[in-house]
Amino acid sequence: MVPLWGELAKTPANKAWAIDVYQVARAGLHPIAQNTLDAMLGLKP
Amino acid sequence: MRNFWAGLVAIVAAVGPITSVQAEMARDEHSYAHLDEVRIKHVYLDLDVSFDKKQLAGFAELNLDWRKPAAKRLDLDTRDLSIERVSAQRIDGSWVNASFALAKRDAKFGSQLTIRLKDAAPKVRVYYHTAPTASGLQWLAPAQTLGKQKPFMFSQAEAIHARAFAPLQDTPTVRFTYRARVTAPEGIRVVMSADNEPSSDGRGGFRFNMPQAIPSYLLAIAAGDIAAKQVGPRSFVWTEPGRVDVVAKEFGGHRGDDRRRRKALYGPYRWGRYDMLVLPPSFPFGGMENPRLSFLTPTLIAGDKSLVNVVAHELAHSWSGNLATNATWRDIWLNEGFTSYVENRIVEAVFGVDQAVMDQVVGQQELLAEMKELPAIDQHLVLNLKDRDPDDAFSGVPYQKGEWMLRTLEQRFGRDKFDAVVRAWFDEHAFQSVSTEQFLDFFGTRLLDAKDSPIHRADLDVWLYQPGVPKNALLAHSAKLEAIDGLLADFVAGKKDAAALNAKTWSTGEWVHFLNGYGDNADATKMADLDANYGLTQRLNREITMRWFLAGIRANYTPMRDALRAHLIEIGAPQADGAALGRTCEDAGEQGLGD
Repeated sequence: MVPLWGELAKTPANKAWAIDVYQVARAGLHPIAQNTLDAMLGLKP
Repeated sequence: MRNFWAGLVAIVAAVGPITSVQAEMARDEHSYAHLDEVRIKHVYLDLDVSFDKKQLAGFAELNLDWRKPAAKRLDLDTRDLSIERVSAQRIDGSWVNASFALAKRDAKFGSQLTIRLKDAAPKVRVYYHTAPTASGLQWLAPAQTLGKQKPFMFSQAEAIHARAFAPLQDTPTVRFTYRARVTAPEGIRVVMSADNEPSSDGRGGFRFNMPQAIPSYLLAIAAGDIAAKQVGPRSFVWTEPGRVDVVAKEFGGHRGDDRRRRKALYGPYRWGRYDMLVLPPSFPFGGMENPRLSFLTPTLIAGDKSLVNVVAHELAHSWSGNLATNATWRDIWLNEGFTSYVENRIVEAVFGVDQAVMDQVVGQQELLAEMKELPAIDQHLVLNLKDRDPDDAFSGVPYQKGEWMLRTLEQRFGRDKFDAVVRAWFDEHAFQSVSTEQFLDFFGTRLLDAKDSPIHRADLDVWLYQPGVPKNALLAHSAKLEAIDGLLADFVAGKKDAAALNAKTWSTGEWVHFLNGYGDNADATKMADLDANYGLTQRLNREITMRWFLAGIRANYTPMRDALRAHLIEIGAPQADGAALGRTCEDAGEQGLGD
């Protein structure tokens, strides 16, 4: 699953779409996945 | 898969001796422990599972093996643990309170817990509770489970997340046996990486014993509405009741098979039972090799060999990783490279050379593609993890590059010679932690240093300490996949349309190879043609689906966006019913995986 998010993060338009989806998906994801994807999508505080 | 477990055990297990040599190390860069002063040798956990508070609470009692009794301090790893109090047993047997200090939290490594002791305490008790956000645990609401009635919780400790649910020396250099008593709300069953008793009702707490010494990353726990079904004399499957028959059918059955037993490769299976726990889909990996109880994702039950590979991989870890364990995470290739190599040998024994070689080709090509995007430093087999969370540095390199190096050795020395040394490696390092340097000494003395050796220690330096793969690395060749390459070239050039590929009978490996090659040249029109003929957007196979979506993102193939969105969300979302799962299992049978 992580490679898909990584591929989406490569272009601004796809990344914006991915962040939108991630807002819905995040709550159900494992903390380890959240940690990886927060960083990948540039959402880490 | 009927008879699956029996066959795998017969292939890899045989009787062999156990010897013991322990390497000494003072510090692990990912742990606050002072390993030259004291080491944990046994742990007793007494915990309560609270779904309301999303916490584990109770105490950990640590039996200590003092190397420097005068040190009178114990440094433990914790992350987001609340420490209530600490007591210590004095040498005279009496218990006293011990003072402790919890250091400021480090984002990567958590908080050092320093306990001050009056003497070389034989035992220390830490009373604590976990945080709802503990990185090593996931708490699921009933809606995220199959049954939708009861909550679920499971742990994932590798690499350094055990410290988020127990105060430990959280380093694979330290091994301990453990016992536990865990209470949970009525109707909730608790299982651990230990002996799990299906008849236990949990009154007074579920009790566990793990008599084999494990590193902390193999400490594991799960709790929920979990049922058990026996699938072999020493094997149960554990999962939610609504999934247990489907899972048992997939893994069930035991048949003695002397023919396969003779192929035994790597010495005895030393862990007693081998059970499998199939978790809800938010489990973040395909599988985790928790000893006696592999944790597996339900997405494995997809009607193809991806299941077989992952179970073969987790089982192979019973030797590589769980018996002979990477001493630090820099050496993780010793766990994963060996395991990927053994996995491929199991695939060869079960499915034949063609399938094994196909997997090798796919693995090598995916490694080469992945390395193009990795910094040079992360392409070494021996990782540079200084000041890094190991999770951030892991990639396909320890797996595929490690497997590739080991296969190179196998091919250069011949199987008979190489297999004997690998077997001795596991035997002589059983229940020990090992480093790359020990690997070099062991394989050097027995293989590489001979005058007429076809490959020398220095040749391995390129694999171990340099980026990329050596120029003379042997590429695997598969006639089946070369035929796919020809079809792909014609398809990309417009000489063949999707229907002309005749792909209805392609195996997972053929699709994976095709889509990996196609990904860089994908265009939306041709993807629509493929989709119309083979329904790839709606495919249930996790291996094919991921690569199809990757190609679709690159080609901006918009008709798959809704399915991609659903796929990305559903991992942790309320689950589909059992019927859908049943259908995919029947598909598995139809595709000839039932035997």
